[in-house]
Amino acid sequence: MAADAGHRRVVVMGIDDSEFSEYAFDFYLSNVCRKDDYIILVMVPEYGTVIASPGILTDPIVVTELIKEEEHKMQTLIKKYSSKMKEAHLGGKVKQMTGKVGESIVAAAKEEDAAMIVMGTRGMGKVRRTFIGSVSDYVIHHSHVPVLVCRHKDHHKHDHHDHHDHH
Amino acid sequence: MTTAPVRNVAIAMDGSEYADFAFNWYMENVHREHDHVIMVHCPEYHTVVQSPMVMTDITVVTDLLQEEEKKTKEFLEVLGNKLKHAGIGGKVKSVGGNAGEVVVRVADEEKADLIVVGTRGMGTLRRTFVGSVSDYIMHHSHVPVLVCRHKDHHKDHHGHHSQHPLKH
Repeated sequence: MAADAGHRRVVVMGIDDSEFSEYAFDFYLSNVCRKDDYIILVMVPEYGTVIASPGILTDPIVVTELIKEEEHKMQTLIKKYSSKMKEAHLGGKVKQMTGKVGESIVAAAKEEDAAMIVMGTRGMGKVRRTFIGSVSDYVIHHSHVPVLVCRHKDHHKHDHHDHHDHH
Repeated sequence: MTTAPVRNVAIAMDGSEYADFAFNWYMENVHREHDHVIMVHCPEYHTVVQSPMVMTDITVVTDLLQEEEKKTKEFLEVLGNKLKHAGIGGKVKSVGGNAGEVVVRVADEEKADLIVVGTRGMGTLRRTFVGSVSDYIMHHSHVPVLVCRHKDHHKDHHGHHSQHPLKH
């Protein structure tokens, strides 16, 4: 959706606890952000991977511990980005969603009628042995609006390694 | 917020509506007054040379190549005018080769801070939802990439849903 000067833009940002999300946030802030932007921070706790790990399923105590840990992580993350937003005088909200990360981000953008999506390329999701940017890949292929994928120089070092597996 | 220093922005332009949409979106949503814009064009001579019928007659090939060159020159002028018209400082670069690689390379050379690309180009192969060039750039760029997808593009997908085995 084209933004007229002064028309509020809704920006959906996929966030996790990685430095890549922080880089994306900072890049957006320095290069794209406008005064009236309304930012929706989408966070997806990784309960799925906890429950899917085969060995762990046998002990309910371990499972609850892991879930509690994940929730604690979420709270820390929310606090961290809330203060970043406040520092930058940005308005917005946190949208905690469940399910798959990529799908959640795309769904959030649709629900909130976002003008664009901002995200980093790695670290979004616990399953890091999968190909680079599987989440950003998904989002780019399914988003209805422009996506800013904040790729960082350092990512390239990892790419070469993983990309060969891909093909 | 800091007053940003001059930013170099590389925009992949091939004359398609998707590239134009990307350019316009960038102008309306990201562009700042002192941005230095590098329009990257990648001429596609290989499509001419690959046409089977053409290979038998050398004069036909050279004629077609000359025509392609002329079209490219005209297109580069169009791009130059686009920059002028929008009051942007920048340049137009036309480099032959594999489109995705060219864009990433030029972005590196020009020390671009951002690459802007549409989701498709003029390519005739529409089996995927996102063009191979945009995909390549997304995976190989060293800097942030803005992939400009437009709501209407989704209509393209509906034709594919019946054939495409993947479910969302």
